[in-house]
Parts: sequence; C-alpha cells; structure tokens
Amino acid sequence: MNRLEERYRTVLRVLPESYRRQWEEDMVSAFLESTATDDPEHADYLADFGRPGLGEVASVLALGTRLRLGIGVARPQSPVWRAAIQVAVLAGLLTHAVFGASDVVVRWWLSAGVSWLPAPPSLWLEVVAPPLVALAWLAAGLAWLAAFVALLFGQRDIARWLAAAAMIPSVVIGTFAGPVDSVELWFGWVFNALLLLGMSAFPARGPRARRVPWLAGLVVGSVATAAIWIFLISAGTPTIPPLDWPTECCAALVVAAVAHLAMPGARRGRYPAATLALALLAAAAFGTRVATLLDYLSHGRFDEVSDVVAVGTVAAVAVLAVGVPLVVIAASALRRLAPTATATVTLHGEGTLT
Amino acid sequence: MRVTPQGLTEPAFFVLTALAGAPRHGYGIVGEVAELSQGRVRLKIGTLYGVLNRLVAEGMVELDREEVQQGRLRRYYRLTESGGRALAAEATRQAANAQAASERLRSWVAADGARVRVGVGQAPEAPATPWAGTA
Repeated sequence: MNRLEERYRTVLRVLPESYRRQWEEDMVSAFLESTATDDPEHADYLADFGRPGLGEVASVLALGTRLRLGIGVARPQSPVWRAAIQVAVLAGLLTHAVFGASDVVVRWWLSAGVSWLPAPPSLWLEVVAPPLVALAWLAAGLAWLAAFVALLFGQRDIARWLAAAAMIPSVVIGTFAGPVDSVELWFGWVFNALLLLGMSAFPARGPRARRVPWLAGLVVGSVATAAIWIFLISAGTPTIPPLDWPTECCAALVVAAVAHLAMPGARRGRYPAATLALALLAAAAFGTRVATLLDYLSHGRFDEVSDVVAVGTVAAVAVLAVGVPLVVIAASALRRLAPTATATVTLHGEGTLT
Repeated sequence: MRVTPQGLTEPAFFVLTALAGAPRHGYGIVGEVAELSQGRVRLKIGTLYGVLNRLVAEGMVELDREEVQQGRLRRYYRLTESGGRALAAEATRQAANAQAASERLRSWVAADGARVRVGVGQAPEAPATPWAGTA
C-alpha cells in the first residue's frame, strides 16, 4: 500500500463502518485508477507524495454526511418498506373498491329488485339512507373503485385525486350528520389519509403492479361481499348483522396471513416485503375492528349488538393471533437486512411489485 | 445534486445510461459518464459510490462479476430490468420536456421575426455599436 492509498483510506474513515465493509475496496480501486498515469516517474511521485484532490475529499465528506443523516441515500430496508407499502396501499384501496362495487349491487337489488334473487324485505326498504346521502356514499365507493384501478394501471396522480375525492362524502357527512364522537369515523379518516400518503411509494407513472391477481381479487371480493349482504338481508337479520364489514376484512386478512405463513420459508423471513405488508394490514384490520366495536358499545343497546360484538371480538383476537407473528418475522427480517445493501426484495419469488 | 421529479438524480441517470451499454467497473463508469455527457459531468468517486449504493439497494443495478486486475479487486456492475425500466421512463420524460420546450421556442421565434436572428441553439449576434469596424 503506497502513501496515496493510505491517505485515501484515511479520508474514507468518515464513512460508516457498515458502508466501508461493502464499498471501501471498490472505492480505493476506482480512485487509484483515476490517478493512474502513463509516466512512470510521475506515477512514483504520486504514489509517495500524491493526495486526494479537494473535490474527491469533498465528495466523500458529502457522502458520509448523507449516509449518517439518511438523506437521499437508500437504506437496504427501503425497497422492502416500499414494496410492503405498495402492497398494503393496493390492499386498502381494494377493500374500498370491493365495498364500493358491492354497494352498487346491493342498492340496485334493494331499489329495483333482481328477478332471479329473493325480493328484499320491506324493513330494509325503510332503513335505506336518504337519497342524497345514499348517492354520496355510492359516488364515494365508485371513486375508490376508480382510484384502485388507476393505481393498478400505473396512474398514481390520478389515483390520488380520485381517492381524495372519495374521502369528501365521509368528511362532509361525518362532520355534519354523523356522531362526532365516533371512533370509527376518526379511524377511517386516519386510515384514508395514510392511504393517500402511502401512494408516494408508487412511481408517478410507469411500472405497473401485476394486475391480474388484484383484478381477480376485486371481482371475487365484490361478488362474495354482495352475496353475503343479500343473504343476510334476505334472511331478515337485524340492522347490524353479526358478520359486519370489519369482521369480513379481519376474516380475509386472517386467511391471507395463514396462507402466507404456511408457505415454505415464510416463517424464517424469506419474503420480508409480503410479511411486512400483511403486518401493516393486520394493524389496520385490528384498528378498524376495535374502533367499530367501541362505537357499537357506546351507541347501541347491548341486546342489539351483543352478537356482532361477540363475533367481532373473536375476529379481533384472530387478527392479533396472526398479526403478532407477522410483526415479529418482519422485524427480524428487516434487522437481518440492515448490514448489507445488496438485498433483493422478493414477493413470493416474483420480484418487486412494480 | 439535481433531483428529477421521479427521484432520479442527474448522476444516477448517467450511471444507469453508462450501464445500459455494458457491465462496467467503478472507474469505467466514471469514464463512460464523462463521455456520455461530453465532459459536462465528471463524477467524483464519493459521488459515484453514493449513487451506486442507492441504485444497488433499490434493485436498479446489480453485481455482474468480480475480476482481479494488478492485484486489486474489480467489481463490474450491470443494469437490472427494473433499472432499465426506470431509465426508459426518465428518458421518455426528458424527451417530452425537450420537445415541449422546442415547440414553445419555435412559436416564440415565429411570433416575432426579429427574434429569428437569435435562433434556437445559435449565439445571439453582437449588438451593432457606433464604433464597430472602426478599430
């Protein structure tokens, strides 16, 4: 090692140790090549008396500062977080889209009837919301559906505007017509705001998510949800059926989590992004379930809500049972990724989402 | 360091472009970027490895192979499929920007015949001065 190399390595000490472990030899090699000269005499002089130029030193100092402050430098966990947030945001939008689409079907059935389906009971015809409010909720559901499709087709900015528009009825109706102490209302606002923020994890345009599985989820979810509601209403269930929408979300999450954890290697953190995404969704499902249960208990008569509270409590416990292992596995996988910057992110072996 | 709206800095854009040709090692990338930018962008080693670290972590660039040259390790890096897509998207965006600017400039020049003398991409003519040609 000549003096020039020693001096350059001294400069590199401003970089974090973990970074140097990965890049130092490469940087030294590139730097020495950049100082190479065909003149042997000049090369000898540089080897003994040469120093890294001010520009080189400044670039290393700037890199060290950025690395230590985490500014503009991707940490190895970042791709995992980005992929996980993308999946979680799409799943959140899918949930809204499914309820929006099934709402259209159920309202159509309630208002017009469908010849091959049983007629809706008259009680339900009386409890449907006033036309303007119903129309607002319908529009919101369709806007969520459009936002989901836009994001799926790589149009993040359009999706963001549609999602923001979809939130308006909830904010207006919730503020002026809903119970202001509703935990569910506040949780919904926070959840939707996080969805909007989470869209930043997508590129503005361009690389698209894999569409077929998500669109299949939309169709299957919408049909299943509409069928459940039509069955419950036809069966003459009370206004709040035991199987309400937060429990449906919890059930879908538990099924997805169990299927994921059953995959080979998943419990050892082989798919960190998918595990982290499910952990984020478990937190959202648990929060939604608890918020709605608190509302039932504070605003309903216990004999009216006892069934839904019992089923909902079981759903919340089930989400906790799968959520805790998901969080533990995801945290462990992220810790393992920390020392190396060359981690590749895989979602069930299919590469990154986008 | 300039950052484009998509988050691809100018050095990152040139590094990806340099790797689009063939896998290259660190100093090879520096040379290729200088050539691609006609000498305008001369990457310092610290800057290059900051960019490479980010691109590798984001899955846009990956290790191609390792060679030993004169007793020193040389790592070659290559563009990934994801890096190629990001570069293509950025190139399309920049081309659209350039086209929009060119069209506006053409309209601007056409709107005033006197501006034709300036022209797009030409140096403005020196203003006529009373003492011009009298030296």
